[in-house]
Amino acid sequence: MQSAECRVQIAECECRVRFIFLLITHHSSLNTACERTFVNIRSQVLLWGAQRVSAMVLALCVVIHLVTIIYAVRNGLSAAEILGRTRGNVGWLAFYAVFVAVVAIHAPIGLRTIVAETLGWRSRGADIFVLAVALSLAIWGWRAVWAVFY
Amino acid sequence: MNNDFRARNHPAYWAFIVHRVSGVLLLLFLPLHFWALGQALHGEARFDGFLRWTEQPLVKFAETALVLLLAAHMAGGVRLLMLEFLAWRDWQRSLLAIASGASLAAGLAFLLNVV
Amino acid sequence: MSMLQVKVWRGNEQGEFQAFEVPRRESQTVLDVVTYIQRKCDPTLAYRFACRVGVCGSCAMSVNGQSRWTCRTHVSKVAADGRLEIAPLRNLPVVRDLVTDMREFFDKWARARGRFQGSKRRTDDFARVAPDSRERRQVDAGIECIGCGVCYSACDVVTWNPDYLGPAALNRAWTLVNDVRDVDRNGRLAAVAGDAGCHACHTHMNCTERCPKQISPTVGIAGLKRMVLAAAVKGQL
Repeated sequence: MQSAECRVQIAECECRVRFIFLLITHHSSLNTACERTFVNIRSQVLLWGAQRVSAMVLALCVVIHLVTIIYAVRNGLSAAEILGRTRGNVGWLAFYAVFVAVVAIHAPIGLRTIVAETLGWRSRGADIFVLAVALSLAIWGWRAVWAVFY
Repeated sequence: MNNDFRARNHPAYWAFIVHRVSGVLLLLFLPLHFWALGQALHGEARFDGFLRWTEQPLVKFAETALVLLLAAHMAGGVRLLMLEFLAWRDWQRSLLAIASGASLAAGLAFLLNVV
Repeated sequence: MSMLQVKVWRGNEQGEFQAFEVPRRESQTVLDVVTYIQRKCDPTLAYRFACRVGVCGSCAMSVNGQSRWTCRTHVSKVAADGRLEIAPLRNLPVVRDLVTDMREFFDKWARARGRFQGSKRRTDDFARVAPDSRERRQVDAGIECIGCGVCYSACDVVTWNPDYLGPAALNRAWTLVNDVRDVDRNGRLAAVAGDAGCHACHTHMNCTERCPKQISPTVGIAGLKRMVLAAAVKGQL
């Protein structure tokens, strides 16, 4: 990465606010022709691949989830009904544990693109933020799954 | 200079907007969903109390919207997977119509069961 | 004789629309309108054109918010209410008025390795490429691109992602990875991969909507996504 080249890019950039924001976030977010140092090209491709593969798994999970919900809400929803189905049921435990894990892969990768495109946030900090979201979703989701299983 | 709505006023773009907006809203909803289910940790009675609260019409309306969002996001996603992974054919353009129809059907089914 | 109310962008990034009245004529194109303004109203108006018959792509501009070839755009088609808004192509730095700086567009073309790389010598026999083979049909669907920049101008991902190579460069790369004579396949796939490459495309299909040659860069980009993923998984990137 040529920092001199990047400084020329700053000079050409007309938006001063963006310049200051970029300085604050991380120098590597000024990458133009340069690779993002935190995530190399092959990893970027594999992230994309992971999001698409997780999407395929989720398509199946969501169909099952929607059918279950639509069936379950007939005649109202009660704790006894839900828990009666999920308590001690290893099948539902496995299904929802997998569902949560795959969501925790799928959503953050999409979020990474959205923060990059709408906020221009493309630095190492953005990748760490997205990873934190992934971990939070996994932990909170598995907690919820456990809550209805145990 | 950037593009505005005049350049974006066509079906494939609307599909993108629906997909992105639904994705963001669903992501924002998830923590609430996990918290709500986690209430079961505090015992069945407390969980039941919470579920009773969700019987309100406004909540049911929000739930219907969420089902629509989920169905739309999934249908749009399956459309994208087909466009990206299956070699391009002309009928794939009609995927959009099929996707919209399927998600609306799902939303309607939920609404009819919950009302 | 009815008059057209025409607003034309003046200045560079900072500027404003200037209003003109242009007499309406039969079979008039938007390029005719711009030419009339420059000749009869304001000689300082800067704009590009060359062939004026729809083969060079130089006259591409934004007409009522949509990127088009102005020589191939009949006024009757776009100015139903007698109003025209003419601006320079989007996503490119504005040099002056309706003229944009196309360097970035062509730089990205080069960065995507949109250049044929062969291995045969002059003394070798001709390469035999069956025109109805799957690869050649895919190349033929995208080979007519003349680099006019309309798709690049229409693409929102180009706006949101400054490094994004854009539909034209990726379409050209697609025609080359499917060219059986080309020997730079893996290098080219690496060049078009990642957040600034084909994977940034969201299938908005603005490019396909606007391409004056009816090329669909989206098709090629989808193909590149598949090829690049396969190469990444196999460790060829």
